[in-house]
Amino acid sequence: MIEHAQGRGARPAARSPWAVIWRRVRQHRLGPGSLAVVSLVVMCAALAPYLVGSDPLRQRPDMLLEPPSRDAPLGTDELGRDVLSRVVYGARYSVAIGLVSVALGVGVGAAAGTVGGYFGGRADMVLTWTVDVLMAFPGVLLAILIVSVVGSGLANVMMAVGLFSVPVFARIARSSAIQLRAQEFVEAARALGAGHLRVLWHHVLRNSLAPIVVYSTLRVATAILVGASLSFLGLGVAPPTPEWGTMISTGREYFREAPHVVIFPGLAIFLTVLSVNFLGDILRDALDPRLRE
Amino acid sequence: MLRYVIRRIAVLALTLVGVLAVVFLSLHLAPGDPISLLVPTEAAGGLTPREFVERLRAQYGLDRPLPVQFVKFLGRVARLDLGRSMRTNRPVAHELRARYPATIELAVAAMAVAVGLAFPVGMLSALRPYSLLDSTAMSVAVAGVSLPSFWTGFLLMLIFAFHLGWLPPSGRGGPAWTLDGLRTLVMPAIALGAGGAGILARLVRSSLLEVLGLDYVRTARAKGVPERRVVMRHALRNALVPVVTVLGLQFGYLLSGAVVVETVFAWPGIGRYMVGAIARRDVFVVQSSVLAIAVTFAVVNLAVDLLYAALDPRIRYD
Repeated sequence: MIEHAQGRGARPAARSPWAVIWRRVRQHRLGPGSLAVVSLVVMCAALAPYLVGSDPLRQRPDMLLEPPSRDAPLGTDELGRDVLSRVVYGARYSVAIGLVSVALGVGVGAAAGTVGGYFGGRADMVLTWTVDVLMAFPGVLLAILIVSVVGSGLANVMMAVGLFSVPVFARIARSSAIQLRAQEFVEAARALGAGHLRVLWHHVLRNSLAPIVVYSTLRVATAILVGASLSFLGLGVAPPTPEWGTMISTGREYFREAPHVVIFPGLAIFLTVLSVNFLGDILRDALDPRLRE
Repeated sequence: MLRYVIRRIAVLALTLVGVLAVVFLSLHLAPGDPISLLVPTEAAGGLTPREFVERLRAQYGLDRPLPVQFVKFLGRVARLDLGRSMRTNRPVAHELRARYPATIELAVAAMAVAVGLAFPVGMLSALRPYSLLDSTAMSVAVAGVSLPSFWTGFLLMLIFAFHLGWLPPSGRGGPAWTLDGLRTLVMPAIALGAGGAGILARLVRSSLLEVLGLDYVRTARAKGVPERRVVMRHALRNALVPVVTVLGLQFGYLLSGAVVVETVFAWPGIGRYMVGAIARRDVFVVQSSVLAIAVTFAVVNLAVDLLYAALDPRIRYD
């Protein structure tokens, strides 16, 4: 009961959020297309070996830098590897980097932000300062600094990109916790004898969920871009792994003669990020009208 | 106003101390021992004689307690003594100074591209809200945000340098005010600015749309002010306020994006220097480059905030 006391009572029985989201996706001109692309990418990540016959690492010296043909629909790269199968397998790394790093960012950031905003005081000051400091490194800079010291590789990229998201979620969770802290239903819960932990979990965190979910989605798109950028710079997943950024990085030597080795992995990044961004926007409109620009 | 300026500078100083601490401590994130970044130590499976490692450790002051090292580090940074490259042994500050203008030039040009695209697009959208034109323009804006700058860079290069032969594929022909400089600047600036344009266009639209719904705009229309004048004079000015604050943040985003774009176009800036240094594990160079960009970002943001407070008195009393 207490949770419903924020002026929602006047509305008729609320539809489930899933129904609202689904309706929004269908109504948006690019909604169905975006959902299809994201589903396809996730499917590629999960089922790559079943979707493409050829091994993404198999080299064919008789087919170097071949343009797209029936044999290799997206052409072959400088070692005669099939670009289509590499692009399909590459979905794994982008999906993994996107999801794991954002989960890390949300886990650490939202926890710290919620606690800081709810309790206030010195802990909050330290938190705010830390967030300010982390945000003082624009864009990929912090990730570059970290990876340059701890070394490249998938796990380190996930960690670095995750850290890059921590201050964003800390800020969102903090401002949401500060707003909720002063609400009557939180005071009521406290007055009824609920402990801080219970209030934080049941009342504060749960009511901050909408903005966190929306930003997580949009952040997955950013994380995929940043992860691919790091790989392109040679700081991410190392060759011969078929990661999209890495493929562009190695393909750049040959792209004048064989542009397909750069075009297709890039197209995969672009379409994936674009679709996730559209879905994030739709989600924002569906879940949290206040966040609408 | 003076109080606001002092407070803002104090916050900046505090943040910069944190930034310096992060950069300083990053060296100690190295698995095992920071000295292993310099030479293959025994612990890291290398063969460097122990005495030599110890001598290096003393030379770089890595044998002192951490707080002492940090204070020494602060002192060096304050004197703009950023150490020497571990690989080329050249003073890092000197190298950075030579490359700094190129990076700033690229970021400013990209900002010009972003603003130049964002304003017309955002304004058109706001003037015909919820129309086909609006939704198309906003979809294009999202596409701009979703473009990997390195990929856009290669596509531009493919079309305008290799196929059409209009522009040189890479390098920097000189400062932007020379024709050769301008010709090399165009493609990197577009590749870098596209993302910023998308973000700004959305912001211009939402900000202008909000202002156009306000009472004073209705009053202006009611008293017969021509629509063109209502938009340009009355609405746009106030709509600019939130846009201007974001410009500072955008500049930081462009500076860090420059790292990637400089690599694509062999642009001789800080970013390319830094990426080269990472490959060689030249940590001092990476640290100093990151620091240079972060400090620039902080100072630009301060300037934007102060400018903003000077223009809008409400800000100072927050």
